[in-house]
Amino acid sequence: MIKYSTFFAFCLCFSLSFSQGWQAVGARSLSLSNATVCLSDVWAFHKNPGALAQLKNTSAGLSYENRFLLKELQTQGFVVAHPLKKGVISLGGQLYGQSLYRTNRIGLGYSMQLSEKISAGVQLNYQSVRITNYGQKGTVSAEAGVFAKVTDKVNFGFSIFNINRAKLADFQDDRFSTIMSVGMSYEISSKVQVFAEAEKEIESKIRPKGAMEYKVSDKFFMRIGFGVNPLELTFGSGIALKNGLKIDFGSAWHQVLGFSPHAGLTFDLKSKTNE
Amino acid sequence: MNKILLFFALFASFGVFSQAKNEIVQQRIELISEQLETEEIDLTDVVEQLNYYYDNPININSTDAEQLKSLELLSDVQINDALLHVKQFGKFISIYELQALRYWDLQTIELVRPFIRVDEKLDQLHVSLGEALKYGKFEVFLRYQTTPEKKAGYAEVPDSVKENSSSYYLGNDDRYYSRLRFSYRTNLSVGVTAEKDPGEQFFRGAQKNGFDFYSAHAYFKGGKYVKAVAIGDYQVQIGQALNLWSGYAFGKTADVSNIKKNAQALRPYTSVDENRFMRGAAIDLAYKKFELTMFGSMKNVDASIIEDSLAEDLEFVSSIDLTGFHRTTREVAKKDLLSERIFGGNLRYISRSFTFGVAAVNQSYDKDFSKSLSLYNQYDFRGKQLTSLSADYSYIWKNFNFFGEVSRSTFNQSHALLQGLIIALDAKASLSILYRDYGKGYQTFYNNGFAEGSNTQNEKGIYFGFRTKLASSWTFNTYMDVFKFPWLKYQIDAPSAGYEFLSQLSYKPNKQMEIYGRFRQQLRQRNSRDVLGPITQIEDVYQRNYRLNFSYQVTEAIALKSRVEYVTINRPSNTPEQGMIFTQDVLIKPKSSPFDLALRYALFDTDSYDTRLYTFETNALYVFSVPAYYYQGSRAYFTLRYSFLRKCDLWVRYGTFIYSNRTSLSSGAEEISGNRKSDITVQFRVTF
Repeated sequence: MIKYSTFFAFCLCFSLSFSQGWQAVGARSLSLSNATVCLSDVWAFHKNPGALAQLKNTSAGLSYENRFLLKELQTQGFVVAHPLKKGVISLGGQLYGQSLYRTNRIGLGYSMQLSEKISAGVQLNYQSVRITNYGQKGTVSAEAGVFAKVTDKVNFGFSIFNINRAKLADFQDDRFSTIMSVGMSYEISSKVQVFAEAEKEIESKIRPKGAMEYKVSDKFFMRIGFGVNPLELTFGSGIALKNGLKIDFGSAWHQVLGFSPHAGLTFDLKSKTNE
Repeated sequence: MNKILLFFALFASFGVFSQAKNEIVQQRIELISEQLETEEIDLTDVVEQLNYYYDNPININSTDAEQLKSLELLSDVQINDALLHVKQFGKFISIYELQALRYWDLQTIELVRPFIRVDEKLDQLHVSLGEALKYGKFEVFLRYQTTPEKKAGYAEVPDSVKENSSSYYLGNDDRYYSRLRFSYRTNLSVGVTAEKDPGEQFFRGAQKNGFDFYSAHAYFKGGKYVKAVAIGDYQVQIGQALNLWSGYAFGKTADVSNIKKNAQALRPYTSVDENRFMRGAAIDLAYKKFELTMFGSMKNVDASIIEDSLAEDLEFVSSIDLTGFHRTTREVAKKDLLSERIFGGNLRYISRSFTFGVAAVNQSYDKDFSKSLSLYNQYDFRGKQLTSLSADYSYIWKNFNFFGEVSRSTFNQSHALLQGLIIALDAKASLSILYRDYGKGYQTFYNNGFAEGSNTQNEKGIYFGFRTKLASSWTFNTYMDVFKFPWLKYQIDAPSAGYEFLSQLSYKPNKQMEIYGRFRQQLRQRNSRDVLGPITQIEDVYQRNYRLNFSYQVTEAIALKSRVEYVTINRPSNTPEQGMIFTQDVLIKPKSSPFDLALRYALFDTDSYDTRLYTFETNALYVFSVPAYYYQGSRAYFTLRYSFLRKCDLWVRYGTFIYSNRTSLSSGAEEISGNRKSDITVQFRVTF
């Protein structure tokens, strides 16, 4: 029974999150149903390299997600980004799966401000898939993103993963998935920010998503989000400590498969001077 | 500077405030009723309440949470905000001071403005019975409704045929309604209501007493220790409606911050639903911060009874009939066969920011209730009696309002749980979250908890609602409700799941004009229409509604309303279906004239009954019509109101459906040959 449900969840996971090579990474982003193509914290590395150009301080983070509370479906991610004189350089990666099936990805990115209102970023990744008894296959892919400040309150962004449609195997022309996200964010007030996004993976239905982040106080945040095709609700909280450390945790919820908790740490090196 | 401008803008908008009472109340009713998607709806209570507060606005300086809640227009955080303001800074000096409240935006102020006033003099909260009797007013309603087209059930056949058949009605086609009521503010109400449905006899045959349904009540509210007393027909509401709730309750509406129920412990019953009320006596006592409601009810309900052939005095009930119709011999035979008894108590602790209540209710029948067993209904109530215990709370912490209820029924030993949270994020935005988990065997007789299904039973779900003001004249509402039914339901042969998503964007640049667009997508699972083999599979049924609504107050006297709505239904076992309606309303209310007139012309074209569209129709006061438009054809009506002699009102209404692709309408006794169906309403009201 357990095996069956694991298998079921495993199959669904491909349609639910992304298929080969990509998993949503970053606890804050996951609490916001990953509708975060306009979010410009260090985790933008995993969602929109274009937004990363907004980063002011050296930051680093770790994140963890467990889909449907199954040990086979865990994701670990990390990121480090450092602003240079011009632009921001970044390094990040993720691990997904367990011994039977595992995907890895590691990437190097560079993002820069093109003008006052617009920034762009590019990233090169090496990713691999390993399946027991089938071997391992690795390849290189590119991703790019754009982030624009439309007004003080409205941001626009888009990003494309795996622009080159990297091939996994010749058999049935199996390729790593290519994903495109387009979205907006709107700051309703100093406390409330809403996000809307459409995400398309080549072989899946388009996925509309919405999310909201509420700043309860300077230290405490609440987040909720939803996505359809397939339907998933997300929620989470964040705590910002004085020393620049942020702790984020939350969960996604699927009608049939249940909860997928996530947690993460983000460390902002110069947040004190920033504030 | 901006603030001063805003202040003047607000001042100016109050100045030209001219929206008639009916208009505001009607908008509210429209919002509620359209979401319910049912033709049988009685919102008398809601209208009465709003009408009353329109004529007698609440003095915000001397009110309490209970009264403000009964408006059903404000959230608890907003109410708390206003009460705290009075407590901290003293009385409001002018109505414009409402802007100073942190969680009241302009929209809220506009909405409640007609129902609220600012007065330095404090109103008396407690009213003596003598005073109430002295200053009270009488109100008499007489109403006549009929369908001119002949239905098959009214064919001229000999009485003997009528009596032996259920395809002919015993009485005539008319509906008669009359009501007499004596009332003073919301404190005293004594009244009698009588109604005859179409097809029922009148002073003849089975109806020797004239009307088929009579309801009478005497109700007094306003004592210090005896807060309220009700004798006769009344309503009881507890907590979040999981345990006991008679009368109407808000569900999911486009007003996303209105998911919390505000129970009004005891109220008189003035509607004509023949089942959902209490009949007996009830009292509401108060001491300091505690309140205790005790009630007892005994009434007869319609039922089908099967006698046990082996034991003579043993009989049991196989079904309960909630329609209230007694038109045929068979229906008359069911009348009042089962006696239902309900009694219970509800103890509450009430303070400004925290309310907690516990309740116990016992409900019983005098005969064994034993409906035929099917797989889907195997957890439904059977037997004679059940007791339910519940606890509910509401807590306001800063701008967070937590609330919930848990209830347990002795039948099946099963429980229902509801937890909600409404956050006033700031004046511009609010967020609502509601989780519910109703056991598959959870049963009480009258509950009305927040649910996708029609009962507070067999459901788990979570609801997110969000409302925000995007810019000065743009408002955005959205909700997402995800639910699952752990057990089978009627005509759904497997556990099922689904969701409902709604988004609405409104543009209201000024007081006169509003445009909104609405999108709603529902996913529900239903039995497939392709039956292959012994097992019926369920399938995903997607329904999408698109609506564009435009309303414009052209002059003080004339308002226009237009609507286009389009619906599609997609399911694997059927070809995609669609439907649309197009309606145009004209409302004419000249200020100095005693007449006002509402006109509608609508065209509709739907592929099937499934793709029907409900729209609200203007009708005489306390008559509610939200008919479904389906198939293809046109709809037109006028409602004319004439006020005369200061105290009298007369409503005359004629409406007609003309179908283009039908030669007969409905079926059975309700069948009309031809393609036209009309309705006539005449209502007279006098107050003195």
